[in-house]
Amino acid sequence: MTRNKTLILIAAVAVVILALLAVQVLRRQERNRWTTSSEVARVQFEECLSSIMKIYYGDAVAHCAKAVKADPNFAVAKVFYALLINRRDPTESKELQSQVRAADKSRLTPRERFLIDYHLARLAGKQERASQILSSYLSSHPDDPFALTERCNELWLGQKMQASEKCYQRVRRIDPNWVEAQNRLGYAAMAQGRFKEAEELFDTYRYIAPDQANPHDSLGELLTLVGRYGEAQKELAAAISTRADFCASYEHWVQLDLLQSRFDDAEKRIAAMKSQADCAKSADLLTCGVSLWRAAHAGDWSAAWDVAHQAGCIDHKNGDVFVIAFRAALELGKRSDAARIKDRIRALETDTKMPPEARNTWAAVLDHLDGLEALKDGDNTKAAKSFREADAKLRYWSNAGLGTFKLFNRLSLAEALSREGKPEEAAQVRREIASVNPKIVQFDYLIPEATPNAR
Amino acid sequence: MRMATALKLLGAMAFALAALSIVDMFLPRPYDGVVLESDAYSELRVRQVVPGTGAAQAGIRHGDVIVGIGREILRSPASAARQLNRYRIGEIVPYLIRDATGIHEVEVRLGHRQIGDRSYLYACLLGFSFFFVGLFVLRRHPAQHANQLFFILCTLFMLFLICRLRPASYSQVDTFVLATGTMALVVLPSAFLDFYLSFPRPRWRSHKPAWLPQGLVLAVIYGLPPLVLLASLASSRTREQPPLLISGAPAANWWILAVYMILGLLALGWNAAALKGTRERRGAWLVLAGSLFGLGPFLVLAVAFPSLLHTERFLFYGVVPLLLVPLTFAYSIVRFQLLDIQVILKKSLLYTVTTATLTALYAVAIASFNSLFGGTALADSRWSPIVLGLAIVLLFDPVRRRLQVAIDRFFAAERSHLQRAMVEMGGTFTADDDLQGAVLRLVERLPLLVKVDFAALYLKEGERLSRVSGPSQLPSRLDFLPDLHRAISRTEALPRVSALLLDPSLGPREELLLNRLASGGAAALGSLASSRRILGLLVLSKKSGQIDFEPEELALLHGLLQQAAIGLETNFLLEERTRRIELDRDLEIAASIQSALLPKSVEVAEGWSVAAACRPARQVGGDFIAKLPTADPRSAALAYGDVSGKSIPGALMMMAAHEILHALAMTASGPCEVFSLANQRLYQLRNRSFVALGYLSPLAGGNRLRYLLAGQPPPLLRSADGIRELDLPPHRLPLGALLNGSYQQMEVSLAPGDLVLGYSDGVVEALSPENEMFGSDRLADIVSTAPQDPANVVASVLEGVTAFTHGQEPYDDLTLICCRLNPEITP
Repeated sequence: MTRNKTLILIAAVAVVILALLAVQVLRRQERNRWTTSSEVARVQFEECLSSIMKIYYGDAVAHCAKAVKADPNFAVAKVFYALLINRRDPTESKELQSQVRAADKSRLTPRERFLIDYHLARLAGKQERASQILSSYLSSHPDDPFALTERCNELWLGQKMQASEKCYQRVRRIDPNWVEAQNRLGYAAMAQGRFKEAEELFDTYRYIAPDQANPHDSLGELLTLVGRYGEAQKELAAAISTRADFCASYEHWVQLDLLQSRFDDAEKRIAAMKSQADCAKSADLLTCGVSLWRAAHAGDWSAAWDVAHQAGCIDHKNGDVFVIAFRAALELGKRSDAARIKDRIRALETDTKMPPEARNTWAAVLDHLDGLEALKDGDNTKAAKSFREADAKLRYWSNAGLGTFKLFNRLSLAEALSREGKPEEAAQVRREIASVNPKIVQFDYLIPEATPNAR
Repeated sequence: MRMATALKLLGAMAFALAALSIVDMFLPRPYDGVVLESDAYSELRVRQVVPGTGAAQAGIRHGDVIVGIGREILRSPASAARQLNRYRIGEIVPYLIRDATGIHEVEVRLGHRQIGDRSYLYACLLGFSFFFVGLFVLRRHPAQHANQLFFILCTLFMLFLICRLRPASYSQVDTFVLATGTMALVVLPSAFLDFYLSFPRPRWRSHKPAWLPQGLVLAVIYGLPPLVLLASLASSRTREQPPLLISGAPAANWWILAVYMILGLLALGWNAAALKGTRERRGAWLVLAGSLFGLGPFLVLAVAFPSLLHTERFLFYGVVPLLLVPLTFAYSIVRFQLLDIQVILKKSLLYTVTTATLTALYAVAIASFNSLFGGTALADSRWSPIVLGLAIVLLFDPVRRRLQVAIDRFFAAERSHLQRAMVEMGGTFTADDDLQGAVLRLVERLPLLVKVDFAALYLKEGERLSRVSGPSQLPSRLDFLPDLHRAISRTEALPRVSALLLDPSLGPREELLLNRLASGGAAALGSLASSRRILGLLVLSKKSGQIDFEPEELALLHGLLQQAAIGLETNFLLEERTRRIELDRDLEIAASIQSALLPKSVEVAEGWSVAAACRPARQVGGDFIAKLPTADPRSAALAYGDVSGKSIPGALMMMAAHEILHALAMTASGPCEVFSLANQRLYQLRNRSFVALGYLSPLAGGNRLRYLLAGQPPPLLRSADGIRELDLPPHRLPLGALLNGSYQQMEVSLAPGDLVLGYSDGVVEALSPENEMFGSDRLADIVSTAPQDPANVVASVLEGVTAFTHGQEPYDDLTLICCRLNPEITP
């Protein structure tokens, strides 16, 4: 073999060996992204993060506890554990936080240092400081999905819908299997009326995590909104079958029952919900809501008024409760009570402690009540204007509730326009409603008739 | 050479990658039956679904996008491969598919991996053919720029054909291989244009403006495609839109390729038009035609159609014409000597033809087998194709050997011509008497045999070399420089002049001669030398084409030259032998004449007994004995001569001296006059020969003996007192040495029974095997103990010398004359 051939052979072998070594190093780095000497702690912590993403907070607490137990020096696991138990056991949470503050962070990865500093700041109530830490870390690690997701969540909660949507899209580009991004993007699309896109995103979410309750629940919400009640029921049932303690799915299923005026089924659902300890508190509000809807559906406004006040429903500060109670007050001629309801809502709308999104929703509710009142008074023009203002403030989905309220408001708008003598505009609004959910038009019983002494 | 090594390393990596691509296509792995679009941007778009596979059964169709496999959203074909490899063949895997109606989840049962279709396998074969052609070209002449470029071009073609035309799927290496194929496509235009600018002559370098650096032109040629690629990608990123891709590369790069190809073909046409040699020009035009007809359909049918129209129906017809490119190159190179790659072409063609022949044989065998045994258990047996395959494998080598003969005959024509010339020369040597003529004819045929501009032959004449064949631009005569011939003969192949100029063993005279030859166009030299002598020098010009001599060619020429040298040596030996025979015959005659000149009787005077012997060292000698008359009619004298020079010249001189002495002895007054006149006469011959002469003249009826010496040793006197040398005359120069010689007659009186022995120097200078001289002492000893009779004295001396020399042929002629005063004579 000539010398050249030998060199070529050696070089080729060297290239192969280097490539194999590089693969091994990369795999090792992948395995070592969390600083712990315990493999059990690492696995448990990753399970904890996975559970948080799945919104299985109970499981997340258990996994993080195991991680901390397996490696008491596992600082980042301690921070997440402190975060998860902060409401339930603030004392232990604070103890964990102080331990982490005192720990040596020199050997931690930049991501771990960021997560610790960021969540410690949040736990200490220093939101601005947390935001600074996040910005600083993102400037050097712009593609870290952990940090980017936190920034997206900030934007989401700050009602910056378009910015948060772009942010989540970026997370999805970085890691298309980051389900939190899929879910939030689905809701963002749904809120803006892009239902097909939302369905694809939720479908994708469900494809990635069919063993999680949340994607079924998200899809159930969407299908409920767009009137595909049968499919919605299947998804909600799948969510509950996946996690019996997934309270949100009970709530959405009850809502689905109410939209179909299946009040008995709704009550059964509430009974099942009550069997789950964590869901009991939500069950009370739902019980109240079902009774109100049943009374309204029967046109028994006195009963509705009584339910709203006797069972303390009105204190739940729920939009549906306020609207039905207000409608009852109008029908019963209790204008001063109706005004008090509006005052209560106005107080919520101006409460600066409330999230902007919630305040915006309360403003929309207020506009809607104004519209109802105007409609009752026969002032159809004013009613239409109020309904339009409410419509502008409402989305098809928000943290405050499903977009069915927007559809009800639009239904009221159509009625107002119709009474105002604008049948074409009214028909157009009805077509728009039907394009979203053709079954919602039957809910015209929620729209008050004008009183004879109206102007 | 570093460049060549780097290129070989690059080639090895490219080859490994191509092999990896093919091996990967054949590895069994879970497969859904989907063939992906290779130019889809960051999504897995289905180009084709293999009928009957899991994907087909799941309803996946052309145009669908695979969003996820196995509960994971996919980012690349590689991530799909990772997912698929987590499953086993036969398992059902959830797929997330997006089609025109939306996004759906379907279940796909995984089957066995399907390999690429026939057109891809053909593309692989073609790709490897390109690569091996390029590799062997590089190996033949690694330092030649055109060869390096040709290798790069061939390697890029291989990568493009094997990696870029690979049916995209989810294989582990898909992304890497396809990206490499794309990069090959990005670099290919530059290498293409660079090669065509340099092939067959880089004419543009001498025509470019002086202010334009050559490096800048090449930097632009090579820099533009990557810049366009980067700009295209950057632009798409800025616009957040995928770039327009064709077969995986941005459309802009295809434009670059098209423009470069047009420029390259124009450059080739321009280069071809300027070529002076008709052969080269025809070759270049042929390459141009092959490139046009090969690349045109390829770009349209094998690249544009699949990329733009999503049809591979015409792929095969696009790839087939591509074969025209290497074929026209190959043909031009072999036929018109543009580049010397016949060896690889021979090998690649050999194995291609062998494989094709065997494949055809296999197909025929299978078809025959099926028609004969169709439906029987034998035909259904899975072993039958294996057995047939084994039979074909066994046939491979015999078929290859048969084909090799035919292919060798076509491709290795020059070597074959040389070998045939060697055979012919052998035949000529046995059949032809005119061997030198045969060698000359061979030298005159060499330009045709090895495609050189000229061949010249110099033959040694004395200390010079004379041109006997070859162009007049070479010197007609050269100095014979042994060191140069030794340097030429040191290698087993003809050395190049350039290499000899660097030989440290050669001095300035050799360097001067080499430069003279080089200025006359000499490129390689060969020494015509036998084991006995150096016969001449062969001078070869550079080859007619672009390339240099092949090492094997030079070795063959060396062998041919050795054979010619043997022929010439044989010729010389035959001539010598003829001359020797003639000479021997002449010598025989001369010897008989010489013998006839010896006196029949050495009786010279009453009362004296005389004996003489003259033994030539060779067939004819330079010594002689002449019986000369004296003034006393009762007495005669004996002259014994020794001519300097042997053989024919010596014999002729001896004859002259003999006759002169005879003639002068008739008329001269005495021996001194004879000596003087003979000296003058011999001096006039001016041939630098001398004659040592002794003269013994016993006086009749007395006891006195007169003697003269001219260059001969003093005679010995044996008397009762013992042995002594006779007195020497004051002058005894040999005859012919000086014009005016002076000679004196001496006289000695002897007692009865005394004897005088005259002898030539050949006696005392005879050498033993140990190189010891016989010497005067030994002579004196023999003479002192020898019997009384002069004949016995002479015989004893001759015996003594023979014994001393152990019978070896004497160095010089031996001449002895012994005169004895008879005892009955009373002083």
